[in-house]
Amino acid sequence: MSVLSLTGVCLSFPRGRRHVIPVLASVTLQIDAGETVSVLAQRAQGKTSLLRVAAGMERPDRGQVCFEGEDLWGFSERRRSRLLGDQIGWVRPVVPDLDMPMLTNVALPLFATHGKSEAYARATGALERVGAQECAQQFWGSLADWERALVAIAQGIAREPKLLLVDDLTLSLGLGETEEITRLLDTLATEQGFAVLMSVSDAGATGWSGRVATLAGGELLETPKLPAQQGNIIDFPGVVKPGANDPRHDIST
Amino acid sequence: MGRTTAQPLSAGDAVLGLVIELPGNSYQLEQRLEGRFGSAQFSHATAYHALKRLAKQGLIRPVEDSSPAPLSAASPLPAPAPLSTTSPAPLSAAAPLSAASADADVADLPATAYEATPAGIAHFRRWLRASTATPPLREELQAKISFCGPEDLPRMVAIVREAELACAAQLEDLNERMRRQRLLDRDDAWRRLTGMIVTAGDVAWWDARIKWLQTLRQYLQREGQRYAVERRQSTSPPRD
Repeated sequence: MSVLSLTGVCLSFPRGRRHVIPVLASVTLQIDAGETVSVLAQRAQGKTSLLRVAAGMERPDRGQVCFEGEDLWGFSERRRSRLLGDQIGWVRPVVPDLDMPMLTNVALPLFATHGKSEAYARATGALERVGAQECAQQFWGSLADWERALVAIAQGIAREPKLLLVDDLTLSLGLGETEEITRLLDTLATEQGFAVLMSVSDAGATGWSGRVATLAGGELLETPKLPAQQGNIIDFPGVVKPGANDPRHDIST
Repeated sequence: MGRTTAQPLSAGDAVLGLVIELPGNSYQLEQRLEGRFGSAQFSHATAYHALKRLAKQGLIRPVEDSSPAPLSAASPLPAPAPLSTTSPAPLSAAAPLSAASADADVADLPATAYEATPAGIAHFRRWLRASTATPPLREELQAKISFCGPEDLPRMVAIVREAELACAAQLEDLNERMRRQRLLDRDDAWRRLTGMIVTAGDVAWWDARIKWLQTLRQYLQREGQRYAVERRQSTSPPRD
């Protein structure tokens, strides 16, 4: 069963009585646990809106949004809100509301659901997992962009989510840093078994994603997956592959 | 006027570079060519034909005794030999084989491993250090759009959509190759760095193309809708 499933999702924003701004047009997407999907789109093409719909923060005009097979909009407001605070992690490198050490910042959203000491323990663990333990006592203003991205990921995974939504996290990062961040997300998704849906505005940020979809004009395009092929099915002339049919590998002769 | 256009990367130069890094047979080189330059989309058997050609030119030769170290395509590659002029040549300075004898040797045990001759190494260094010019932009899709009429717009939109999907698939392939390559280059910081830069070049190409296709698709869709509305209005009977 998919962690997240969007089926025929349409979204538009009304502007006055006559005008409507179309954002998503019949978007269909499925993500399984442990998978990383990148959505590549330019500015103002609905990347963040797609993530908001996936998180249950935005109600689509049409279509279905299912989390672990259950329709998000069949949930009560309270349950949907709890889901967002508990099983869906949201990652973006924005300036925190309160100026306090990063450990407190990562722990703060968990206070209500997990209690103070458990929240701090989880925050410490999350910062260690992303390799940002040295940022624990730092304040936002003193962090580099790269460290801010790590702290944002720590905040997202501290609640041990089943789905991590990552909004253009690598926008301000360089080549090597972008690769490290995308590799980290892929490793975390594989190890901890959560699904990752990330929006990116640069193809370089799709680096370690197993799947790449493109979004423009509200249309999400993704190549349908074929069953994996075993080995190279095309033989080229004069080439003997190492294997059982190669007489040099036959120990009986 | 200076040279502004160039031929794309020749398979011969790429294969020669790979042989200098590590001798191997045509199957292994095919795999390494795909791993390193997958976006170039060389056809199958490219390495095989390039090896034959290079051997004929005396730039590579069969490894005389490859038995002590059978090369497995699946085994991780050792660190490549540096190509700077200050470092010693990675191969012994034996005289290059004549074209005739190389041809005879090539004709052929298919799994023969090849190594570079000193002439091959010198040729490759000259290629490495020569200026690189900008390849020509011969884009079929641009030509199609320049010749299409308004009635072709729906089909053009479909073509652009197919092209966008193909680019995304290429990007996925590239990412997959990059993962494999990073695992092979785990212990080699220099190769990891050059690998990252080369991948970034490939990615920048696909990124630019996908963005262009996305912009094009939206533009053509909008024009297609406008044209359809205009045509409906011009064909509908006037109201009294």
